[in-house]
Order: sequence, then structure tokens, then C-alpha cells
Amino acid sequence: MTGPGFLRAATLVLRKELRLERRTGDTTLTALLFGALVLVVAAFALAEVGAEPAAVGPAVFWIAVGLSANLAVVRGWARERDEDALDGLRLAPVPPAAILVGKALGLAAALFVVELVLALPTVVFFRLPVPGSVVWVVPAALLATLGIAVVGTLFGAMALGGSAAEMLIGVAVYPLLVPLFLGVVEVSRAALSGGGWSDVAGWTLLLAAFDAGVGAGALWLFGPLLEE
Amino acid sequence: MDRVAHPVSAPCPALAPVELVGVGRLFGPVAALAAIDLHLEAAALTLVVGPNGAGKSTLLRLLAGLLRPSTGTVRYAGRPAERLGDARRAGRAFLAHRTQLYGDLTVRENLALAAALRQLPPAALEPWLERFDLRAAADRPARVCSRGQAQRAALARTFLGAPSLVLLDEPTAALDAAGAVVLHEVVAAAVGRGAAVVLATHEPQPFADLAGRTVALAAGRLVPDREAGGLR
Repeated sequence: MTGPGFLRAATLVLRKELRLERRTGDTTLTALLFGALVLVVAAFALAEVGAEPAAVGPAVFWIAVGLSANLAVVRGWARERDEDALDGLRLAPVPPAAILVGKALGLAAALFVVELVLALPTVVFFRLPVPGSVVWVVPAALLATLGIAVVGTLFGAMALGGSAAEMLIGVAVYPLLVPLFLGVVEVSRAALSGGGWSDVAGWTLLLAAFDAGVGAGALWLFGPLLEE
Repeated sequence: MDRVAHPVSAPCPALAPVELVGVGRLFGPVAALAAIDLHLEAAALTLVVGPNGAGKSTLLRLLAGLLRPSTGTVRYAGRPAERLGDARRAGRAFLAHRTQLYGDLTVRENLALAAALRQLPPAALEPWLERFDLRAAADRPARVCSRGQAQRAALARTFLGAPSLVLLDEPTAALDAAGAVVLHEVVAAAVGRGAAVVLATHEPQPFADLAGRTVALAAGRLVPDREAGGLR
């Protein structure tokens, strides 16, 4: 009897995450409802003060996604805390980093769904143009979502078991994610304004570098973090 | 009560003898364990007894590798804990107070996940579902199982794959009389195939006939044999 190896273990954890989410939907639904609320409130508030909707729309969208992610992280780790299910994973002969990858990809999948559903109301509420160049948002959104998921999963593990998990995650995660949100908002604005690859390349590469950096750090830190 | 043959899997590489030398564990300023010297042999059941808060669960979590000692060393078959390869890590199995089951997965899905993470074929879990009388509950979400069924499922997962070091923390909790008899048989079979079994309990009597040794803990320390009578 040996371990299944890194990729297989990460796949098994991801499949478990997706199965639980498909069955309960609680992470996605909670995040989605909260994100929609943020979007609606912000749209009305900003309209009142006369903000240019097309200018603030992408920022509001990513703020809604970022805040929703906090709830999704907490819910995703609550499953592991209930009945100490995480100990079952830790007892298996798998690298801790494989658990991180599986859980982070599961969280990213839930956040993709949230983004897809929130995208249409954002376009409508903020009267955003949808030019062909909007395609450049896709790689940036993928990179941003992965970054949020990895950082959220890492810090979610750190806050596991703490009574103030939501606060800890919020306080620790958002400052770290500032470059990521700046990057994806700027890419979204440039692409929605009809900009080409040259207008979004710098920020997109920044997002890729951010993901590579935090990904490597998270893989390295996750094992020690899980130890009590 | 031997209605079903004991499920057999290829045994894991031996982890015994397990040696704890000067092991202590602090939680903040509180010493949950201190100066533990213990030697656990293969093919033997060791009972760990002691009052609440004595450190029994902490000792088992250390042996399972879920906790690191603050002081001292734990060695498995001569290897330090941090140098165990996958095959040997797979040989440790731990039944804790909580079931380690995902409530929204069925009993079968929970066991299948545990089996897959140990590279066991899906068929490996069927004999254990049978052995612990879980057929009727196998396709129910774990959260709707009774406490006793959930404990049986947790036990089935613990014994999957013939672990060579089996750690059981109050395993009879929530089990009915029939379940306790099955557990006794399964523990006897595990010892018979060479596993080192450590069982922490407040009720050592049902396993006294199997136990090669009983160690007593009090306030995080091993109690010398001559003083341990009152704890058993």
C-alpha cells in the first residue's frame, strides 16, 4: 500500500470537493447571494452619487467576487472541520500540497460559477460595453480566480479551528491580494474600453507572476501550516 | 459471531517497534504529555488507560503523526517520524473521537475516498462494509447515520488496507453489544496478522484477554506499574 502520487491525490481531493458542492451547493450559493447583494447595493449607491457606471463597474464586480470568496473559503474549510474530516486526509499517504491544490481548484471552480452568474447583471447594471476585446478579460479572470483560491485556501487552513476565522481570513488575505485586484480591474477596464493585448499584457503578466509566486509559497507553507 | 470472514489485504510494511523517547507535548503553557518513554511491539495490543485529561488522545495523535512532539522523538521501525515514506505512512490508521467522515458523502463514498488515497481498489471496502454490518447504511449520507453507524463506518475506514499500526481512541463509544463483539474480533485479527494495536479506553475489560500490556497515564505522565492499579 503506497500513496497515489501528487496529481492523483490532488484529483481525488478535487473530485471530493466538486461532489460535495454539487450535492449541497452551499459554498457557491452563499457566495453568489452575497456577491449579488454587493453588486446591487453598489450599483444603486454609485448611481446616486453620479459615478460613471462604465468606469466603476469592473471594480465593483471584483470587489463583489473578492468579498464572496471570503465566505466560500470559510464554508469550504468548515467541511474539513466538521467531524475532523481533514485528519482523514492528513492520515493518508499524500503530500499536504496535493490537498491544497485539490481544495484550491475546488474553490476556484465555485468562484468561476459566481463570476459567470454575476457577469451579466454587472453588464446590465453598469451599462458596460461588450466589445470583442472583452476576450482579454478571460485569461486575467482565470489567473485572478486561481490566485484568490490559492491564497484563500492557504489562509483558510491557517484560520482553521479559530473562532474568528472569517475575520482572520479577511484581515490576512485582502492586503495580500491588492496587486491581484488592481491587475484584474485594470485589465477589465482596458478590455471593456476596446483595448488590445498590448494594453492588457503588462497587468496580465503581473497576475501570472503573482500566481506563480503565491502558488510556490503556498505549496511550501501548507504542510507546516496543517501541523498542530 | 464470526458471520463473515475477516477481510484480508496485503499488509503494510511494519512500523513496529515504535519507540517514544522522552516525548512531551505542550499546548501553550500546558504540558499535555511529558517525559513519555514507551516501546510498542508488533503483533501486540497495548491498552492505554487513565482519567479524562490524562493525555491518552494526545499520545495517540502523536503516534498517528497528526501532532509533533514538543520534546523527544518518535521512531517507527527505527526510522524517525519525519522520514517515513508513503508506504509506511499508509500503515498508520487512527480512529479518533470524531469520525473524520464528510457528512454529505455517503458511507461508501467516504470509505472509497479513503481507499483511493491509499491506492486500494474500490472492492477493498466491500468486505469491511459487510464486517461492520454497514450494508444497509452504505448509501446514506454519513450525517443521517446514527452515531453507532457512523462509528462503525469510522472503524471500517480505520482497518482498510491492513494497517500495521492501529490507533483506537475509545473505539467502543456508541457501539452496541454486537458492534463491540465485532470490534473485539477485528482487533484480535489485526494483532494476529502482526499489527501493533494501541487502544485508549476507560473500559479496558472487554479487551483484557487480548492485551499484551496495559499502560496508565495520569496528568500527562506514564504511571509506574506499581501505582497504576487504581487507574485500570
